[in-house]
Amino acid sequence: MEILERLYGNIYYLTSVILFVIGFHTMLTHRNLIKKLMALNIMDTAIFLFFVAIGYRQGGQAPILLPGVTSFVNPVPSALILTGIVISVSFTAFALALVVLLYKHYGTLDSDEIIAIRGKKHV
Amino acid sequence: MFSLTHAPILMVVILLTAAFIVPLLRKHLLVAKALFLGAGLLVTILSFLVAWNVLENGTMVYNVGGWAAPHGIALVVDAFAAYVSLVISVISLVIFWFAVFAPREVKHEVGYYALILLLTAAMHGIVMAGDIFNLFVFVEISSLAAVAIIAVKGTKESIEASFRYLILSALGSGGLLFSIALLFMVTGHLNMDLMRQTLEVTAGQYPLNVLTALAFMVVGLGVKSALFPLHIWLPDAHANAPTASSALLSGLVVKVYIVALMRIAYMTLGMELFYLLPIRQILLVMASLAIVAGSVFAIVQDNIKRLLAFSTVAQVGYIFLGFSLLSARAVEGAVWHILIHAIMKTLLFLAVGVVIHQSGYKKISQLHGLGRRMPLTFACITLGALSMVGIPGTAGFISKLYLALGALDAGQAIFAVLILLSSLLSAVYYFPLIITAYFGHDASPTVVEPSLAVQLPLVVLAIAVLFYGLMPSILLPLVRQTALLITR
Repeated sequence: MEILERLYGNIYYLTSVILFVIGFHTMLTHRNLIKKLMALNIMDTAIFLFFVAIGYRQGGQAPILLPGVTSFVNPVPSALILTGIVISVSFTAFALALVVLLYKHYGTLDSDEIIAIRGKKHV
Repeated sequence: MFSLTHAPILMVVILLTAAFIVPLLRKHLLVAKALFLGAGLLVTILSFLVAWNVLENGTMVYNVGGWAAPHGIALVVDAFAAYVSLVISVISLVIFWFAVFAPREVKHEVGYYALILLLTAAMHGIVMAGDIFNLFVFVEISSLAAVAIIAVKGTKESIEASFRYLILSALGSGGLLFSIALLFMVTGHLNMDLMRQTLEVTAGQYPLNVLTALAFMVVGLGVKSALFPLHIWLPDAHANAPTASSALLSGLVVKVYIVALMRIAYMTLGMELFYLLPIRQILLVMASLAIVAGSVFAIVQDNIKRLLAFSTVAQVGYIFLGFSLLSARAVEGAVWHILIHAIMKTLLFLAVGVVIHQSGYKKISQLHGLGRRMPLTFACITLGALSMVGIPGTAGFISKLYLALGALDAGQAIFAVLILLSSLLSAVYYFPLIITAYFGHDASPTVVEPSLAVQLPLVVLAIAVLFYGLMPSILLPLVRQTALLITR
């Protein structure tokens, strides 16, 4: 029972770890490049959740000094993660542009097939 | 005498501004080229002044926007940062020159210049960042720009290589961000100096956090700097990029991430932690494997650029070896190697790019007799190769000597043997290149030397190889101070 309570107390960290593992697993096991990119985004999201959860406080308010408000959420992680999200979006956009080019050149989105086509040329 | 207070941020700002202006000048190519070179030159001058100032007056701390440490973002220019940004600015200036004067390899020239400027700005930012999240942002900018300067070539192979690099690089970024989150959890600071002060107290209370953070950080930055088992993206990426990009990536970019790791190690974690945790032994093993495996893979390559790329894997191993041996002279050797490998590998990649462009040959076995057709270019290649092997009188000898002496200082003679062995291995893969070029029947009598403007960077770098081989004392004070920062 105690362990359940501890898990519930850290529910955000737990969720982010589960998301991270889902992303990592998908990334390793799927051959479709678009799915790989989705997996990458899930992993990024997991890390963002983890980062934001550090600053979260149950029942905390926005950090504006008002009479009667004593419990604040730390705003720094949220601000940082805004930057993180922007970076992740630009990574994804760039990667998708490369996927379009890859499809033009190789005619497939399957990473194994792409490697096979490339390998043939090398030999 | 004007003040140098703002010089650190100016180095980043000048390059970033130029990166946004250059693409607008598509119709005025000459102006764009002048601006590109001018920005590089200005930053080089600034980095010389900053390095001189750091030597005279000690570490410079610049608070961006005037906000001091806990609230604002600081740039910390210590001897290490000054040294590395000096290396970056000088080597990248040479590469800028080459990119402007060498024959075109990419479709949109101005866009290419912009990406190179962006990459250089980010590299300066990484080495000077005093705030760990700021460092992360610069790492991301440089990762994206590094992938982009491979993909601009537009061939099938380069796009596949850059996609793989992008995915692994994004994984590495994720690891880095996760480790920053864990450290932030323990310390509540993002300023690297304040983080260290807090960690001295709290690291013992949360050993799991610090250990996990360190593991993710080493893997994250290890992927980006191609530490041996994580190097799989490097050979394709560096071999299929345009010439100037290959030189920039192999000569500077991989090393900047090692510098980032070391700066986090001594500025944030404190070297005591490095001594306590098994991370040093792990890095030593990975570095040794990198040196051996990189060399062995390089031996079987026939494609010249792939050979050079695998050689980079081995050389990254040297730098990690020096930093993880942690004796004073080994660290000095690693610091030397950052500069010297940048010179040698840039020289070799540029020269080989020139050869490939002039002759159309990409393989060592096709080079028969080309040394007589392109005497100056091959003289430079020979010098670079000799330096890679570590022949006394060339720059490569100095860093290998320091590394070997450092290994003995650390009481681990086995690594000195390893360095000797790998010199032998590099002779095995570099000498066929030289021998085929100078001997054998003359197969391609129509090949000629490129114009003098293209050869100038090669000659400058070749002179630098000889210069640092014969007179290493010029930069010694800066190298010494850097090593002191890490080993203190």
